Amino acid sequence: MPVYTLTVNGTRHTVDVDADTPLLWVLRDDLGLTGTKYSCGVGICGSCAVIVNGSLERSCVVPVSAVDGAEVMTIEGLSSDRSHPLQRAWILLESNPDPSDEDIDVAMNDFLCRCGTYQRIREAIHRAAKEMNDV
Amino acid sequence: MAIDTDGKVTIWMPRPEMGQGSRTGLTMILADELEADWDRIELIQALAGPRAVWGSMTAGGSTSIRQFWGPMGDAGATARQMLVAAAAARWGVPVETCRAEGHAVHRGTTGEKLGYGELVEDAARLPVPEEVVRKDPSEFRYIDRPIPRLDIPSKVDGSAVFGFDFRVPDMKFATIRRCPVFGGQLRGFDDTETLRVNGVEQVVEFSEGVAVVAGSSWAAMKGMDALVIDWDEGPNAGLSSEQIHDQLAQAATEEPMEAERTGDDPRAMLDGAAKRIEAVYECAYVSHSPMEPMVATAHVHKDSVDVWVPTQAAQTCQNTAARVLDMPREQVRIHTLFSGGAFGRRLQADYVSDAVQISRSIGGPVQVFWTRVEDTQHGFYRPISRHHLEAGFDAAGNFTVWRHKVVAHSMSSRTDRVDNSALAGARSLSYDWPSSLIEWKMSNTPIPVGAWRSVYAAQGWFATEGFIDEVAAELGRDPFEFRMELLKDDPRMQEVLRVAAEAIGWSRETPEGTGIGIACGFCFGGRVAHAAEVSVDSRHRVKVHRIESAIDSGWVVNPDSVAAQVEGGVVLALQTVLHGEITLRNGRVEQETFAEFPLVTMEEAPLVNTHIVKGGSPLGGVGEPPIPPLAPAVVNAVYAATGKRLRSIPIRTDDLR
Repeated sequence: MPVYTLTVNGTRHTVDVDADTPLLWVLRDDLGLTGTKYSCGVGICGSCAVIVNGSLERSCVVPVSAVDGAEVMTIEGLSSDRSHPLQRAWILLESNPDPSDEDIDVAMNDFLCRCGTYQRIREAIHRAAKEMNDV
Repeated sequence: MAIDTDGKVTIWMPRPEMGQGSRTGLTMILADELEADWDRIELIQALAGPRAVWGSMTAGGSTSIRQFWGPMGDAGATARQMLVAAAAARWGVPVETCRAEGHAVHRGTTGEKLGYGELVEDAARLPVPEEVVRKDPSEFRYIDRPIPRLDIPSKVDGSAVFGFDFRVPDMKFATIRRCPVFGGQLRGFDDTETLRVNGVEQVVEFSEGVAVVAGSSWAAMKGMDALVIDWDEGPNAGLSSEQIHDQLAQAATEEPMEAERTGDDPRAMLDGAAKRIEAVYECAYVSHSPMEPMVATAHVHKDSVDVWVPTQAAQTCQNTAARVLDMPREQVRIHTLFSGGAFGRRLQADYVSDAVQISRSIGGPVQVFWTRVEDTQHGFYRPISRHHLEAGFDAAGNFTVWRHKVVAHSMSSRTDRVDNSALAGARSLSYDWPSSLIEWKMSNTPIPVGAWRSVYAAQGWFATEGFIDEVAAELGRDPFEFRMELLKDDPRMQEVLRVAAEAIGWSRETPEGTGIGIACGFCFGGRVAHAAEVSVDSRHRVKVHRIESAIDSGWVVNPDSVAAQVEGGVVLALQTVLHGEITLRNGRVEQETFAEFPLVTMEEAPLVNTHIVKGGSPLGGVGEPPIPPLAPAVVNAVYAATGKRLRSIPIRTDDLR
């Protein structure tokens, strides 16, 4: 099998897997980073989202061969003390430090939640924006 | 529970955490009665055990807080009493002069105190007091305060262990396939190509289908895609949603069973009515579709088994594994993990049966996971139902009779009597009908059905609350005022309606294309009223902007958890209104992923304001009651906006043309 190199949360890893193996399963089964979730398997729900070279990707539909040598950040890498605002919100806030409800809805609309926490996610993003702006 | 000599409190949690927050609520109850410091408590999820010891360990029926208010509080209070007695004995003073507070027992006003850790060895030797003395509510330090959920930090940093995240050394990964046609079975398979897939180790047959076992999840899935399976599709291979629809429509024309009758002879009232209106309400099959598909990790040993599983029903898993493996129940260790959503799906133990069979076959530990497609196509769906409603009016225009006939799939499948559980939201309501007739007609299909958050109450209340709105309109009455009048014997329901109506600004004028609707419901010990503000655009698309929700489930343990349940319930129920439908073609479910079974998105999610009404005893459920009134509140608001009645959920844009 081919060998791929990934830098995940700042740590360099070499994995020996089939070229078509989605990044999701490399993270979960080969690197033991189970914070990135499988849910729909077809790139719709966003449960598997990770940051690859600074942009957000659905890791369930990204083959490892397409990200050889990439820098990957997962939920485990956001912060060691749980203090960092989260993934997509982070990307959003980098480009828009003070988003409206509508901005948040647009940015987050392709992340699905069956428990219906949307309202709290909106509030959390507003809070994160405020905390980042206060720093 | 246990207390260590360093003061650490350990609680063995009988009920699971599936995101509903009850582990936090139950901890609050015990910690409050114990007078324990919040940060000195550790939770251990209890292994499945006998009902005689644990009671029901099943999270269902919105029962976790109300059923364990007693035991969890009594455990904390009993320990507190023993610690106080131990301290009194140590000091040689009367018990009455000592009090527990902040993880210690204090001696009168002397300022002297002994920590729980210092007292626990003495306390443990004392007899367990026969009379449990619970706190006065005025002394509560955690209960009725918005305490942050204990499980959230680990879910935010990715360290929480859900079903897919569990690992055990030397574990294999397997994915399964069941016959796509309900009732079909495996005839055979050709695994030539499968065994060529890197990482695939073997292909295993089990009672419900076939599994591909591999060294990684991806290899298992790839191997499954390469497997050529020959199914005996069985007797349902031609079944379609159209046939099921027709079956229910036909059943509605047949003689129903009388379930309830109130007031003057309702049949005579209908026959003699000067005017009658009627309507048919319909609800589709709905899948639970939790974000985490079905999964269980099993390790069958020589004479015992371990199963690590996200479940709502640990004891059901234990019974299932014991039966499948023909093993004494005591030898079955069920380790309950966090569930990535459940909504009733994880009351079933079908996926545990898969896992233990496959582990037995391969002789080692294996994580057996379902793909999203399997999860969507092999659910236990919310039953389809059809509701025939009729109202009669006398010559003076007075409302005289209400009739509701429910045609649905019965989970009890009893033909000899009325399935009262399937009539939730239709019978035993607190509406004071002038006269009423509630009827039942069973119409079962080969589609597996199961409890879906609020079970039958959502369907029954959808029809009831939709049609009450129609009766009010027929009478030229305000639908809120009309409900209030009919609910004069249920002041608590009146109050939630009043609060929701006031919050939404019930009587105000709304702009063109927008409307306000209201509905109420009762199930599992909770009363909820939702008032909805919606708009319908020029392309007939419905947008729900805001829900004002009032809930009365008695008193409250964690108000933030109550609000979360209401918010989440609104979004889950809204999916059944906007999108959620499972359909059949050629005996198989047509939907595969969230592409065909779309969830509500953030953009579609309304603002939900929760108003907690503390109506007093008894303590009621919270998880399910927010579901039933949502659909009718929305369709009633659509009526207010457009003058069009939507009587079938999910709604279709065409219905509004």
